[in-house]
Amino acid sequence: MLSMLEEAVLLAVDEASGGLRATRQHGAAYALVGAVFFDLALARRIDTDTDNIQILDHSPTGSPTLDRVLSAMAQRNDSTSVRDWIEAIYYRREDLEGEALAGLIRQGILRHEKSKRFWVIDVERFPLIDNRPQQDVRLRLAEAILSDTIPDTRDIMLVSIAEPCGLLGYFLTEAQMTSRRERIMTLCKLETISRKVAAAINDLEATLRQGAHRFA
Amino acid sequence: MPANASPKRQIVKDLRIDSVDNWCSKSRRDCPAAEEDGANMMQVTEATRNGWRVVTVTGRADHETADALESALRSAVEANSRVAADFSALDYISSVGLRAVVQAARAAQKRGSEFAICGISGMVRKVFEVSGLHQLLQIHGELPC
Repeated sequence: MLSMLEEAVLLAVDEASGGLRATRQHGAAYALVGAVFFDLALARRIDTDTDNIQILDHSPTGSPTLDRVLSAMAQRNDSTSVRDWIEAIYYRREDLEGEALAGLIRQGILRHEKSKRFWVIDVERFPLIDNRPQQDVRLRLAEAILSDTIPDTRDIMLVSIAEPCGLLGYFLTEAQMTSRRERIMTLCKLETISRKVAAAINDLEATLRQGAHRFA
Repeated sequence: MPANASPKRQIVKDLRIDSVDNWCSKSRRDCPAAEEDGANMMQVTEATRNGWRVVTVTGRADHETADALESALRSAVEANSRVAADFSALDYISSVGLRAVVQAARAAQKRGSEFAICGISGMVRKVFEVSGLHQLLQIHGELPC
């Protein structure tokens, strides 16, 4: 089974060109940190309440990415807030996307291509070798959003990661996105980690707007 | 109760309860050990009232008890068409506990069973309100039965 981080990054791969898409760069970076926390929660290494995070188990998960984040968390016991930990991992500038791509390549879902544009600029592409996992993720999320049934908790988590990355528009039409806006917001609010990721993105965007006003 | 009767099943007619099942849960521990240090213990009691299977949950729904909670709620849903989860004595619920409730509600919906959450208060109410779960699940102030 793919990790939450791998599923989120797989959604960003353009099935036609192999290019990586994300319409909200800052949002995507925070959301991928959220994906790692969801993976740790699903592995029963952490648990959260409305504000705080609790490390339940320091033992390795087998995923180098998760184990590195878990180890960083275990070394600092001065912070228990979900929000603080999202910020702390965000500012470590981990290459979460790169590690997820490497995992998808190892599993035979993507391949890596490098080329040059104008003989100078490096261009990386990740064409799909097996498009079934991406189709499966898209179908699950479309079902979670377009139906009124109670989704699986894993799909709730993934919707709340895909939304701030701006990835829902790659498999839903504009009309579907508009008509199901309330449902999307409901799913994005259910998990503490999602709410704190959204708050971190809002604060960052507000700071960037203030900075832009000062320089204007 | 007769000496040879199962302690897990008794009939309490004067309370208009048809059947009652009790157990408690603490990860990797049996009930007696859990009773010794009740800090993380969760207790689940089941009763049938007016066609509703009422699952009363007491204590904490967290990483230690979430699996047992999901299992109890799912079992109730599989055997009954109307299940009410009485959380009036639930003191704490973490994200993993909440996921257990959502998964049980999903199982009920798949089976076409009614699944109602009742009596939430205090910290548990706050968690349900902040997460907006009322938009996804049936939440009642009081038991429907």
